[in-house]
Amino acid sequence: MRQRRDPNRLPPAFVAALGVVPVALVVVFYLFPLTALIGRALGPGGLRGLGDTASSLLTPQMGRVVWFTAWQAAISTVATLIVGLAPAYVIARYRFVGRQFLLAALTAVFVLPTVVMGAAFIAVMPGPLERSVWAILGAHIVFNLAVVVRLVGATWQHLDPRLESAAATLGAGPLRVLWHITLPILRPALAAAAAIIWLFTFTSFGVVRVLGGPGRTTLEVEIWRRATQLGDISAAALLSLAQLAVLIALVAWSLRTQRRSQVSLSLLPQRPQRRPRTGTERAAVYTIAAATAAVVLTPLATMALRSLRSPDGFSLAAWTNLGSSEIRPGIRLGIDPWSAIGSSLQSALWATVLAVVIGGLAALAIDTAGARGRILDAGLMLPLATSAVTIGFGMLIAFARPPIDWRAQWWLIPIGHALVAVPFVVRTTLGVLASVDPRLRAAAATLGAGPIRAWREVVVPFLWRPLVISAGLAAAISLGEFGATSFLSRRGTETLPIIIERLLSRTGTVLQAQAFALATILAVLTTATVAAVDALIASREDPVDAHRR
Amino acid sequence: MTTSPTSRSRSHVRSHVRSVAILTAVALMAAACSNADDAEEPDVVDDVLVDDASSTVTLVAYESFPVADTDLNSALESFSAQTGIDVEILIAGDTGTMVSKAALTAGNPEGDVIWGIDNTFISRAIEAEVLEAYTPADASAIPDRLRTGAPGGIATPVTYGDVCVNVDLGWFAERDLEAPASLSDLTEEAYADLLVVQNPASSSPGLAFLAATVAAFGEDWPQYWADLRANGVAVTDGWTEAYYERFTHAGGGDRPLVVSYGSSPPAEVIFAPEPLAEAPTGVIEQTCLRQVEFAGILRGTDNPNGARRLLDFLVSAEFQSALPLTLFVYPAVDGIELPTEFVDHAIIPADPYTVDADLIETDRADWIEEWTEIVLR
Amino acid sequence: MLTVDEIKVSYGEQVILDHFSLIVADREILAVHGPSGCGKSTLLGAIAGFVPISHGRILLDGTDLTTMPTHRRQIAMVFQDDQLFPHRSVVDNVAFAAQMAGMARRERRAMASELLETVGLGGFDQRSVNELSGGEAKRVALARALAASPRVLLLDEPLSGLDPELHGRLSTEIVGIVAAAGIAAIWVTHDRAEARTVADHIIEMD
Repeated sequence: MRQRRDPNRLPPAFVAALGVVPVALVVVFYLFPLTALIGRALGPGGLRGLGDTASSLLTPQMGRVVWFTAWQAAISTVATLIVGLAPAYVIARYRFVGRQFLLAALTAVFVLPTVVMGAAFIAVMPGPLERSVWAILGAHIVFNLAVVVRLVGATWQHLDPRLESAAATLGAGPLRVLWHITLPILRPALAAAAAIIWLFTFTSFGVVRVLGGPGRTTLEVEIWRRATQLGDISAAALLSLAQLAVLIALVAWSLRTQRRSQVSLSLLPQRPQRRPRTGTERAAVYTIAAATAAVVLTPLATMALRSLRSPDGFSLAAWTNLGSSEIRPGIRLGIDPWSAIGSSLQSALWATVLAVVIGGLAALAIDTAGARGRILDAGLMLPLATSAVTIGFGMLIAFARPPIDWRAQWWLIPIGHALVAVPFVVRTTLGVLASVDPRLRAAAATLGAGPIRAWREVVVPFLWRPLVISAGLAAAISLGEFGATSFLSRRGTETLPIIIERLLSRTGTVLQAQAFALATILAVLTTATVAAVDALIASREDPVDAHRR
Repeated sequence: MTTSPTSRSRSHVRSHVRSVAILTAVALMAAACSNADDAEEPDVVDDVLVDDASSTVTLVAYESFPVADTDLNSALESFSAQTGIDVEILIAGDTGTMVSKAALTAGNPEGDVIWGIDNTFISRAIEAEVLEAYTPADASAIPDRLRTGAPGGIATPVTYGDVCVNVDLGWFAERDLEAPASLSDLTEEAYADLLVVQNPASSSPGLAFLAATVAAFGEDWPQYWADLRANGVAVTDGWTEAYYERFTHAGGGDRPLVVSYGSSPPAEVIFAPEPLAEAPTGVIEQTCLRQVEFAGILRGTDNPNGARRLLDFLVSAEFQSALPLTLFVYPAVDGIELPTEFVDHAIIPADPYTVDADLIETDRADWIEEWTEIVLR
Repeated sequence: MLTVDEIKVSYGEQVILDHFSLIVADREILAVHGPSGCGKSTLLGAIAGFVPISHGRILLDGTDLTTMPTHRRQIAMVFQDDQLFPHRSVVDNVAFAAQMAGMARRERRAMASELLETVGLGGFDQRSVNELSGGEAKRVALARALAASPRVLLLDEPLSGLDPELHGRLSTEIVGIVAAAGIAAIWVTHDRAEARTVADHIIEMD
């Protein structure tokens, strides 16, 4: 017999109303541009032409771009894992002075704009290595250390040290314990971290734009170069699609890996950190902590210092001349840093509002809409699997004909940023919604609350915390967003990352110092945003956490 | 039958309150996005040019175009005074970058008039439908030989000159070294690490110089560039950076040889802190390629009337005569009197390289691709 | 009088309640006794309306509740794990039903305060529900259910996890309160002694 309809379910029209805005956003600003991109890639001049475009892509040069993209990602990933293991261990196992600071610094660096990291490595690397593969690898490692420390550290925290002791009593030396016991247990976490880092570095755009120079490009930069520098739209579109296919496969795989590692994590209770006991232990812990802090903070500190360097020594000129980049009387770069700061803040504000509203609505819709919700969920994760460059490129192509010629609209950039940020908002919010016991709603219903009222009274109040967290994240993403903005940005309304990159691409000490000054400003803005959110969250107790206790 | 006056006025008040609220919301939105002036209706396209005191025309230009303080800017100010049209200058990077961006924004441009697309890039702009055809009133004074790149009045020639390797004469004199005299000399070991060129993907003189080497060496040009690379050639994205940041004479850099213009030496005379009899820099005549720069109206301009009037002005005698001593190029319009410093020190090579516009159009992408492969990777 | 008539509940292939029936009269406590996992909580959920049934009917004084949404049934419930609203204070938990009914804030808080006195939690109004002991939380849950003035009260293991002294006192209190309110109650428990103490009738489930 057929199950009767649940009389307590939310009215379908209401659920649909929650979902309609997010669905519209995905369709209009993601799927439609993607279709336009596919049209360009497969249309005449593209694959169907099978003439110039396809043959111009099947060249040894392109082979080298793909090869470089893949191997720099692989080396970056392996190197980050190796460098990150020691700090992950120390932070997971020990309590020491500066532990919170180190963790905060690693996390803050992770959300820093890519262009800032590029600037920091130009500042810290010795002259000939300023723009080299070493600088790229260095920037990738520092960026992604937080991934290793967080993901692998989390598993390490749950790993019972007695297991290692047990192995030791059976005659295994420290290295063999690491090799035979610890690493195998950490493997799911290592794999998850590796997948994420590989994904980030494979699609690395800002770092490579700044540090690669014209001769060293990843696929992502090559798409940008062909579209905006060579005007070869079809080839760029084709490359975008090829990259999209790789990324979707990788994201699907990494999501699976992550799920597996979560299962193994939940099996063991978390263990508290302890203070290092012996002198040797203390020395080792502090050495590792200090070395990590040095690796992470030296480039940024050097960048800030070099903003004070001029041809005549120490000078505040770069800071006082932020607004005037005159090369010769009357000849300027057309850069207006103050307006760029304004544009950046404005974009960040609107992108945050959009991302939070749309991501929040989407999370609620996904949470309430059952099977259809999962489709929306997948749809909203797609932008995550699409590189930001592809998103911006697609929008630029799709919105180029009247009546939807929106290229000059100020809101196109915030929407692009919001698309990049929405998946993070949805993930954060859904996690919290999933942890709200459905019987709370049943309890409200037995007390006379109708379906919508019950939902409003006992589900919605849990939203503010994940939404505040995601607002901070969205603001940080928007402030540093460089890929989509590289396509959508227009003269006169450039955001900070765009003009920082433009200044960095010049060699003069004066212009470089201005770039370092602006990068310092952007770093401070981003860090301050994240810190403000942290403080706001810490000041209010989380009802969900309190409930679980 | 009567309606209660109070109820009517109350509902009136209520609807008034609502409309005020809506207006406030709209105003807030507008204030938040002060960059968007899309509310402004485009001027009606009209054959009769009317003075429109409130209108602004945006001139998109490469980054060596002065935004203030020169005769060129004074001329533009006098244009504004005459017509009531303000001119805003939008610096769009190097020529290649500027044209690429114009192609991506074709039909919804960042400005109204574009200045300085040269004959190596003009075909790309035409193909991408960046421009709107318009023939300025005084265009008859522009010789036909300058027009070949832009048939049908799609763009208007505004300047010409030659792209040549420039030499810091003092630097070579100090070292008692003979300056190079030809393209081939540049690959000699004596001149290792002395030359800086521009990336042809983004820079117009860079592409012109590449075209010159193609004209000089034919199919062997890749070998020439491989030799140049082996000899330590430096590459910048744009001319400004190469000339004003890397060139020993003008930028305090480390390169005494730079790809620049045949008319750069007079600039050094004029900008010299003390009066000079001889130009401190010279030109290697055998490296020169003739370059014509065009201006045009950007398709989709918000202000077609203003754009046309500005283009008319760009080929007027008043503006053209300010070009030699500001941009250091020859005016495209015949019969403009040239200043003495310019005539004395500028070099018009007897026999510059020329490259057919059609050849540039078909081969440019391949050249750039191959050049990138040889020189940068 | 509450009548449960031949109801069937299944999750997928697994049948939890198969043509199950019971009747409870007003002023009567019916104990449902059985081992854990036998479907006692599911039965209460089905009566309250948040567990869908595929067959049978539920009647209250002749009115068919079967397709009526939970919030209209006037059936309140004390959940086994309380399900207090973690983001609301004690008094606002108890005042929830009155708020849903549209009572003004001051009145409903006064009413809730009184009810808290009745269950022995005077002065607890502004406490956070996350700071309550097990017995206190249970009594808040009871007060919250009673504040809805239900026609039927469902109690899901209302004494589980309490110490023996509290266990005895609270069971007496609940019986008294139910009698005073003159309503029907269903009391689910796995403890046979408890069922015998509190109930007028006992149903065995297995």
